[in-house]
Amino acid sequence: MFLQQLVNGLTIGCLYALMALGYSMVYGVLKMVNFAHGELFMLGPMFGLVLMRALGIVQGNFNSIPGVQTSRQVVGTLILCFVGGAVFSAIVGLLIERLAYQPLRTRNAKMEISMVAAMGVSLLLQNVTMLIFGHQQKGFPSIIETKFFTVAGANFSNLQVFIIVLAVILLLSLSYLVNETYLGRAFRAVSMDRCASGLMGVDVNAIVAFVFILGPAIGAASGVMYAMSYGQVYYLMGVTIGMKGWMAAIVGGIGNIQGSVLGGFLLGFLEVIGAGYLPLLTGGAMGGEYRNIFAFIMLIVVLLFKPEGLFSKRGIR
Amino acid sequence: MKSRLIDQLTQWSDWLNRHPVNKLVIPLIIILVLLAVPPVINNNYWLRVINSALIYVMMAVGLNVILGYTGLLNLGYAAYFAIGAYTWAILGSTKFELHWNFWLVFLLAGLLAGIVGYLLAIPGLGLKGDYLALVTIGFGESIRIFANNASFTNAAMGISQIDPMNIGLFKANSIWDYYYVLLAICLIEVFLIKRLENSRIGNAWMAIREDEEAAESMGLDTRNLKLLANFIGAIPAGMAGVIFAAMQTYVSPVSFTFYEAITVVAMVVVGGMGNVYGVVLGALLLTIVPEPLRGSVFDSARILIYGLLLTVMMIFRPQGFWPRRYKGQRQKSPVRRLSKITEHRQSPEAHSY
Repeated sequence: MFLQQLVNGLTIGCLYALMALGYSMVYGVLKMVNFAHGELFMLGPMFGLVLMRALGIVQGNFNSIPGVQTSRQVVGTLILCFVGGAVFSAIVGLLIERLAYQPLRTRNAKMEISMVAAMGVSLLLQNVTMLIFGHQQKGFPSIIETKFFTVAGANFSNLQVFIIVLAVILLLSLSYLVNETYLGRAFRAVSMDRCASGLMGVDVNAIVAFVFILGPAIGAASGVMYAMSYGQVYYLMGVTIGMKGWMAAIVGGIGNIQGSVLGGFLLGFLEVIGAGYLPLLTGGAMGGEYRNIFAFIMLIVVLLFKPEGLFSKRGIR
Repeated sequence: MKSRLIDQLTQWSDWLNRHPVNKLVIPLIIILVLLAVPPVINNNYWLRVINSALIYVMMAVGLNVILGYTGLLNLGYAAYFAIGAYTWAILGSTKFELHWNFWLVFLLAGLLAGIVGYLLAIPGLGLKGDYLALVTIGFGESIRIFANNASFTNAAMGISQIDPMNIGLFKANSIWDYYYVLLAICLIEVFLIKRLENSRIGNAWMAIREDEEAAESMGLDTRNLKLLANFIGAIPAGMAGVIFAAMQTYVSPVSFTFYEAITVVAMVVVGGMGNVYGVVLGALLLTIVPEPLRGSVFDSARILIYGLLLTVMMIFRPQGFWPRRYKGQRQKSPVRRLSKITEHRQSPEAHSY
């Protein structure tokens, strides 16, 4: 039972960690919360589905893949979905930055003002998607043929393994990018002090563009993983998970990349374990449907006792 | 072009403000016009729309205290509304056969919402606004999830057969009665909030909005002032919820989504953060203007238009369509205005503010 929860927690934690990363990167550079990140998460699988339909890979009302796929076809579809979705989200992210956030930044608008603007962008993306794709859930193929296997009493699917492996690869390569490369150093400099790094010759606008390409691309990739494991896409699918990612980022320490990734994993574990044991603890009176409240309670507790985030070394603000 | 029109309007309102007779005549005319609305319209459908617009006015004026004056982004405002609505739904319905006095519950729900608003603000307030925004979103969602699953709220089915409003002498049944009660409450609320706006506390809130560090160094207790703003700002939402529940005689979690909170935020932002009249106008416009579109293709695009409006407003006109003007050019900023108050604190003229 416990091992099972651990595996489930790790899977959902990976997605939260990738989301928290997107929030944290934008926050580090711009000191604002990209409210629309959840929508960029949603646009990834949506566009992936559009591509798959356009190429005739999926068919029918449930968008299922007919017939047996060769391994080459599976890999091709995966690359199509992940790369296509990531590129599309990155383009949208960059457009949002240039059209909505940059004018606010150049005017030095207050944080509340830019947050309301970002909220507007998020509503806009949601509803444009709804007008185009309708307000119903749409089926999304799991692409990889799902197989279940049991290790030490815990059931898990090859899809979960795929998600965990891919997320870890993404996290490691991102860690390399941020810590070892020239670009990463420029990014870290800008998140420490935007003004000073600009004076030192770092192209701040390029770094902001980099953040708004990389963050949405990673968000879209996690969106495709989410859609694959739940088998559906929906224009509001980014709302809850976006909020969780934001909470995870704050719990771990927003602006601090390692911290927010750890916050994402922590949130995933806590939620799954909470949802698993709550019915046992309350004698069935409260079930797993309360698990979204767990994240909130955790946020309140962390904000009361360690507001700069659990894994933050320096105090923020 | 548009801003010239607004300048013209502001000039007129300045002119009106300068002539003391107008201060009595104009509100009297406005009240008479408002009293004549039900007989003139005489259409139940539109009166119902206007009633729900007035409920939104109540909420928007309340949120204006938090978002408009103090500049705190509260995105869980629908939760206070839900608390009010469920308070009356539980204490005044056949659910538990409790039939409490309407006005008692009305005050109780206001107080309850206020206390919740106060407590909720505590974890996010030592920090900047985005923390409060997240805490309030999370709280709004938690309340909705709770109402959607708990047994004493009848879960997703909602509570029906709620008592209608009971005003001492008679039970309000018709839409007309609700209109007059809501109108009276809105007028009282606007009057009170307007008084608060011009008080020391109101100025202190606006000073916090303009520059928190400066306000703090002027000796303001910013933490308690922000908590107070959250307390006072949440009260009207609780009260509005009670009236909403009594008017609909049915509540369910569907009415208290995140989009409800966003709608109220949009009203405050579009109307003009910090100006009560602008906010009232914003609430009326955003409820009544989309109404003819109901049922058409544009109905589903309502939230889309709100989103576009919010973004475009923030980029091009963050102060809203009808912003508050500070009397006289000399005292443009509330910070400066407040500094004058503290300067003359000991002197008798201080009362002239």
